[in-house]
Amino acid sequence: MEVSDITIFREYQKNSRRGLELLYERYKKYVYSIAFHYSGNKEDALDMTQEVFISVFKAFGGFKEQYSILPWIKKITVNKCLNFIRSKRENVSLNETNENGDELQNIVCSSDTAEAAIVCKDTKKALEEAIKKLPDNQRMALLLRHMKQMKYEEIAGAMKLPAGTVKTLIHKGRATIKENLVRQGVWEL
Amino acid sequence: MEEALNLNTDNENSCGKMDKALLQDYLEGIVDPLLKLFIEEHLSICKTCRRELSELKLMFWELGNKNNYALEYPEELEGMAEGLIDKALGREQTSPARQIINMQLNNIKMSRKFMEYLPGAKQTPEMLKKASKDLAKGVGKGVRKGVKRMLAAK
Repeated sequence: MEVSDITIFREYQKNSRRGLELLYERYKKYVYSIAFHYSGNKEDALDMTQEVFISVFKAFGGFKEQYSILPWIKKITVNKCLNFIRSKRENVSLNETNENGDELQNIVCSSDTAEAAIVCKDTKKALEEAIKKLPDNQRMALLLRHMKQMKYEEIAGAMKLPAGTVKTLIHKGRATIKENLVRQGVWEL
Repeated sequence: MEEALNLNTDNENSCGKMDKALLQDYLEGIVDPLLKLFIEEHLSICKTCRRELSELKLMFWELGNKNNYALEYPEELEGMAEGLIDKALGREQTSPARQIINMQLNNIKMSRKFMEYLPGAKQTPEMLKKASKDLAKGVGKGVRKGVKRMLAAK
């Protein structure tokens, strides 16, 4: 059963452990879904989810009851996800040259190969892959807009960017995804 | 309006008269009414932009389709909370399982203390030892006597 934010606060005041358990129960899927679609794999998504909740739990004592929890969690999730991928990339940068080369090869590979691969791909998979290929900021902005139906201002707040920049990121992200899906022949136009 | 008139020639599919980002805003319904009129006017005469709009519509549909984001939540997600809460709260707060173990340990400790206060409890181990020795002695004696009598009877 899902509980309200007020119940979480009240339970937290009576018993902090119980309050945090309810908080986790209420928001774990929300955080994990962003982390999963952003990172594209289960392991990283779980690591990100852990990082988010450790921060949330540690700071929850100072959180004021009159504010709603979701925007706050969104902000933490976005920051943790962006930082997680950044730090991970820094850690593996030099060793991953081959993989990067391969990816580039895939990008410029002949359309024959791509066309052959399309047959077995469903739209969901194609979309996932297209989203995965976007730059970090574009991917995050786009997921928040379309997967979480957040407004541009909300996304700007969560990503600590001007609303205009967020809009540009989303425009570019969509344009790239569309080109990608068209190239993969997902739609018969 | 000025924005709409920007030439966008970086894409081969572009008609060059419409900023493609505007078509996205148009689909989201976030353009000014005047700009909306301009876009609709342009769409009525530009096949390239109509195609672009169709593709964008399909993409918006895909992006907004919840099934495309459906995912299986791993079991690990369920079991993670306890450890994270422990970590966040520090050692003064412990998990229910740990609390039960601590309670049992405490019970054992208390019962030991209680035993110390029982009258004569301190002497009990020595008395038990002595009693068992005496018992063993007595039993040994009895058995030996019994065996002797049995042999004599024979």
